[in-house]
Amino acid sequence: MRKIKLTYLIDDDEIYIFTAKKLINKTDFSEEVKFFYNGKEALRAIKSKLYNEEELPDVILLDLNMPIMDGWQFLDEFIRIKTKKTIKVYIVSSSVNPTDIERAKTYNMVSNYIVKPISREKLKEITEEVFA
Amino acid sequence: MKNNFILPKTDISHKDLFLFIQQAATIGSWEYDIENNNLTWSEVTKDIHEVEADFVPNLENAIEFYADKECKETITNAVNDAIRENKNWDLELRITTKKGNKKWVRAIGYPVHSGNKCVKLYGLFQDITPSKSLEINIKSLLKITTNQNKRLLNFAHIVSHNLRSHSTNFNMLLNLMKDEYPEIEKNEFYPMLTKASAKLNETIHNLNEVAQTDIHLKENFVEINVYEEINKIVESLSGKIKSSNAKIVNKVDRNINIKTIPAYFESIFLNLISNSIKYKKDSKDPEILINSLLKDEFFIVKFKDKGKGIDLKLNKHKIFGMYNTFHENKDSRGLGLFLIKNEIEAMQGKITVKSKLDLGTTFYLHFKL
Repeated sequence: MRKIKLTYLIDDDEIYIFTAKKLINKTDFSEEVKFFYNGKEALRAIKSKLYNEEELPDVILLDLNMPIMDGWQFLDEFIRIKTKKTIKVYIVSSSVNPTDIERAKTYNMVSNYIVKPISREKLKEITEEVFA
Repeated sequence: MKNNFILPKTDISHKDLFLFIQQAATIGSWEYDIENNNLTWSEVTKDIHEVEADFVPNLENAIEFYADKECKETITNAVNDAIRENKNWDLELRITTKKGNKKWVRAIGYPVHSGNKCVKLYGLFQDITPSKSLEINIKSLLKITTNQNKRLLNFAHIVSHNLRSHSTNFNMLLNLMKDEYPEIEKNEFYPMLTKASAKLNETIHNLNEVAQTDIHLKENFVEINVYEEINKIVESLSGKIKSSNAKIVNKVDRNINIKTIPAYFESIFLNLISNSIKYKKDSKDPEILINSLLKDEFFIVKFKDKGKGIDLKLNKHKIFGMYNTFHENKDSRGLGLFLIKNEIEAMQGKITVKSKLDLGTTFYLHFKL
């Protein structure tokens, strides 16, 4: 199985980040993971890398409920960024609210909606999708 | 409200008739002669103000009856506008009667101009306290309901998001802990923590199902054919039906279409069928008969099984409640019938039940036509 090069994980929940970090380290999910506590931080990082697309992430794991800039606001800004690199966005949220799941479908660049907790299996599915 | 009217005499004049109508309708009248500064009130107007029959009103003491500064100002402005600009008024205001009672009144006034000058005002005066209190009541009820709905949405959000994120964190932490420190499983606390975490997850899952029922009221109703829809649901359960050797007969009227929220309709029958399979008689394969009848504004689907039955004498008030179970099955959540009742009521229907221990249970699902 190929490994994703760079993943951005955007989430404000420290415990989740701790567990996700552990899990990703135990699997062959991604060579490198960068963590951001809200959409704004991640967006700033993305914008600063636009001149060097190689350094842009391959996959973004995005939480919905976050302070400062939540997942939806992030998507609304991200949609306007023009880049040649394909960046796959996965929403990873604990929300099982159908309204959220339906809303996620209205964004073309969202590859899938993953309900927490994440697991080895779910990470594997993402890898398979990314390299499909 | 005054009901003992004075019957008019046989030779009624227009004025008598007018006063009689006032009594019957509890609408009073008044007249103000501007030139002579003379205000007169009809009997009913005096009744509404709860003053003696010989009370002599004038513009000042009439305005004094209005309950507060705002009402006094409103009526004063209305009178001034009528005199100066020839405008009518029709207002709902509060007064305090001579006896100190608070009332809502409808005050109507018309100016009469002669040349450029207003010579007279006349109008009607009606006690609208009963309908006004009703209106106020309804408005406050509506406000309460709206608030409750908002709280429910918040509650559902807390359940489906906040509570879930904490419980999944617990679950993840325990799993990873076991990965890194396998010996922890030997600690007597660990299995209990895992179990508590699993139970918490399950409770939140259940709670979420319940909360979602109420949110989806706004969802659109779709017309379905009841017979075909039931067949589809039965089809989707074919594995379960086969392995339990269940027999399901659908004899619902094939010509009936109703408007439903499809997810609810499906959930109702999925729950009923799995209940019938789960609570079959030990000695017998499950048997379900579904038929239908039309009654008043309802299409009633009769769902009958020959299972264990429920003792309704003991459990009548509990049968559709949350977290109530009636048999010793381990996988009973006590949620199915609670959800069914909520779902069918959300579609303006209702559900009733007949059951006898050892003979089986029949549910009557009333769908609004």
